[in-house]
Amino acid sequence: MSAVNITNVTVLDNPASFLSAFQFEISYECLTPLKDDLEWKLIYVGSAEDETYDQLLESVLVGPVNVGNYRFVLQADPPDPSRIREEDIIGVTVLLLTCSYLGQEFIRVGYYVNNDYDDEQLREEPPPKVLIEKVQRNILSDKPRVTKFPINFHPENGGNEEPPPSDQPVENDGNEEVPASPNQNEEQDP
Amino acid sequence: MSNGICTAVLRGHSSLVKGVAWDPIGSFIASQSDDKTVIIWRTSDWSLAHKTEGHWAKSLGSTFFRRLGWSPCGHFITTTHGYQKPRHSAPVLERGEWAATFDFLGHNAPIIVVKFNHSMFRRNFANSQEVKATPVGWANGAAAKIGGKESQPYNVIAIGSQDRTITVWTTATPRPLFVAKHFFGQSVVDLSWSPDGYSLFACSLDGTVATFHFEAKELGHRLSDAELDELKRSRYGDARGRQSNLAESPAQLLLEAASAKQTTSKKVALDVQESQIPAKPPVELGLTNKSSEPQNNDGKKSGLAASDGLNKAMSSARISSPVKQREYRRADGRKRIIPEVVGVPIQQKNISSNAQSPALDFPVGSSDRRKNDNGAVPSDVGLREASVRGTVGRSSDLKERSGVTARATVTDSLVIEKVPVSAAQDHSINVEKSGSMRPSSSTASSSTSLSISVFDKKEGEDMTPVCLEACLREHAMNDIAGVGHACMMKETEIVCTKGSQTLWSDRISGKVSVLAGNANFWAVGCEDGCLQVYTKCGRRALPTMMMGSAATFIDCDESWKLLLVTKKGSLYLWDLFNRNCLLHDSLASLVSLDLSSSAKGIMKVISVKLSKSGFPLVVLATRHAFLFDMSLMCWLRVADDCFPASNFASSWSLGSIHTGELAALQVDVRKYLARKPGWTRVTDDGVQTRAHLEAQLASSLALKSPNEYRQGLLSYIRFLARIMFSIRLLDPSIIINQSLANYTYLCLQRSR
Repeated sequence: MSAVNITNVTVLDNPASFLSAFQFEISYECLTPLKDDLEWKLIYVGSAEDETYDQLLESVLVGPVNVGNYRFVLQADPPDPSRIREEDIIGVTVLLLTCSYLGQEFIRVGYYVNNDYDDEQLREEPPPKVLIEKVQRNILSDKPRVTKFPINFHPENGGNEEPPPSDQPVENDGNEEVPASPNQNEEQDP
Repeated sequence: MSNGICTAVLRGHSSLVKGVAWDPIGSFIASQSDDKTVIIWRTSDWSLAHKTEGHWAKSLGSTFFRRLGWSPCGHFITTTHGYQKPRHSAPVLERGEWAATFDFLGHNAPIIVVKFNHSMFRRNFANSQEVKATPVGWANGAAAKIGGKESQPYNVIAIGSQDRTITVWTTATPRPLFVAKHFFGQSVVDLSWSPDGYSLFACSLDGTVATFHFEAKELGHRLSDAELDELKRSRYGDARGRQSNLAESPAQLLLEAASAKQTTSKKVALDVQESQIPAKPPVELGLTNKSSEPQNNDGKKSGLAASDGLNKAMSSARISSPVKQREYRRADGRKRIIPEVVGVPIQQKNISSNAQSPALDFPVGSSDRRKNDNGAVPSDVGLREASVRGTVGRSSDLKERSGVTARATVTDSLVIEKVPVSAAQDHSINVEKSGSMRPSSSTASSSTSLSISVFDKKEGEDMTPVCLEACLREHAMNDIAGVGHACMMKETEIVCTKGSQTLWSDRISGKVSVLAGNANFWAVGCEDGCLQVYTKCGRRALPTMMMGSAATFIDCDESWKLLLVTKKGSLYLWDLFNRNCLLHDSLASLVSLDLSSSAKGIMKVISVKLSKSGFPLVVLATRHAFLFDMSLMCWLRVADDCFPASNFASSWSLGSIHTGELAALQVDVRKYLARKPGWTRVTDDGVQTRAHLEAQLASSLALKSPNEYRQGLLSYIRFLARIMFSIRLLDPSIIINQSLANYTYLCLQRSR
């Protein structure tokens, strides 16, 4: 079983300007103490088609990891618009919040993000050159998509856990409290 | 700032700057100048946020000061020297637009000084559990209240003017609260509020100083600092949580305030004690109580305005309460966060399990912690009896009273000496505290420290108890008059702390034997017979009271009553608020000449405390409990072992739902009896049971315990009904009064 479960994620200051910092208040619980810190990453997917446009906005270590409930605020810089293709800035894209332990990603929470102009006028007639200061981003924090990967939290114990990621991911949406069970796929319409 | 180097120079005014005020949130600075403008500066980059002018245009060219005031809620800035034809006014700027929306009108000469009270006030004391984070609407001529009515906090402001008058306003009403006209001969120059918010000091050019004291019913009830912080946080978010992101513009703050308005921040009732519903059977360790309130406790424990984000399922666009986390950069440049711990407080578990597990063995005054005695640990094992309540079985009693009062007593053995009647005129008796079961493992005879802790119900969500600790200090005192001869001075240091913060401390001579305290006062009793009473802030409220012999037992109720028993057996009950003695008696009549231990005139007392009825309740080593009836002015025996054969001798044991004070006492008696060798269960012919029941009724009446009286009455009637059914003869001596007869008759009817 996973040693760490996310109990809540709150997106602070949403919607906000495209260029404003991200703030996620993350609550998680730990069931068994871990030796190392947890690594939390926030990734902005610049383009749905191309992975190379992913921007790692922030990566923090959180710890020490003892049994109990914890809470912290993850702040991250906004994505660099120059690294995103012009046609991809306005529209829907994805933000990924992942947590890893010892380099193994065990949970991934995805949020749809809608970027659009605030102003009616600009929305109707978008200028040829994107005016990034006027773009607003709106994170759909109500509908996260959670994927859990079983990993070995205690490699020193001799690997009686299941093999590392991507073999049998567990995915559920909207309700993060569902316990992990293999091959359970519940898709919810966005 | 800490190195004294000038951080920034703000240029913008064209004339002398005569007044500066900081935003309580820390985002802005406001300044008012002789150029008749008010400029608002941002603290993030020290740039100019806004410049307001116009209202002061007609004011004098130069004045001594133009000191403006910022309200503690951060929403209003009141300035001086405004002029709105044809009257002088104090224009008030509102946060956000920084425009003068309101004015304080009414003074006939320029307004010289304005001072907001340090804290906000509230009309009704916080009964309501919800505080909406909306600013109190307020316009000239009409008080527009948004949302709830009387529980809205408001600001209080005092204004002094050249027309020699002072006015005090609240932002809840359009009319001034108070106008002081004839105090000064010349212009009012300065005003200042006391830290507690209820006193106002004023000085004038005529050379006099005046103080004004307000009462809670005039000003309202002051919000505690914690509440004020919570209000600010709920409106503006926390600067800490944002770290480097300070407010960029007033518009952002408005946006945040607007979105904060959408969330209702619930003020969670603090009281741990209130959460223990006495109806639950005491056998369950208090875990069941907590299961219903883990969410509330979460919010409480983390000491934050309970953020809905914690309790409810995910919700978007919500400003949650700030998270206390620590961040730093590791050596390799990686950023690391130490998160904030969230969760059900462990302390509560300890508290409730202690109070509610009567299955614990019954050590007299042993090391069981008092329910609210969280952090207080008498360091010396010899002080085992320092636990106040003595018996765990009285769980309900603990629940009712604990939390607001606390007391601790030292158990050095003190002896009652009863001089036989024949010998001496005065019967001097000494009260001895009954020893504990454990042998004292400490060799040092002197106690090192003693402490108690009190939970203040009124504190709101602040959970840290206030602890009072008394420890002996020895230090050398140089004898100045003598020839350099240093003597060791033994003094006791009394320290009152809240969490890690020391609230106050004092030193008294002598060794402290008892401590008591509640939300209103603290009392310290010493072995040399001195009793020192402190106000809740630590000021010596009364001169040292001389009791004649060492203080042995002490107790206080939740408001102002203090009970003291001295070594010689004197009993005092004082009302400290009215400063009079309600009762002065002694335990002398409780000394039974039959007791073997009384040969030496020693009376062994387990505990002395104030029962729920407000009368002193004494429990002797024989587990007999005595209540002092203040109308009859004598001791009543309310619990004893005279009815071992009674069928009801153990009916009110642990299984009953409503445990009352009497039940607890009786359980103690029963347990004590059970331990005595040679105790056998004797069958009863009914007489003892009846007597027992009648005594129970009378005792519960004396103890003013309605539940027990009711139960006792029902049991008595059932018993009577049963007996009469078998006797088939109505013995008039059994019927006490008409109502009982009727009830009995009814029961008979039913049983037939």
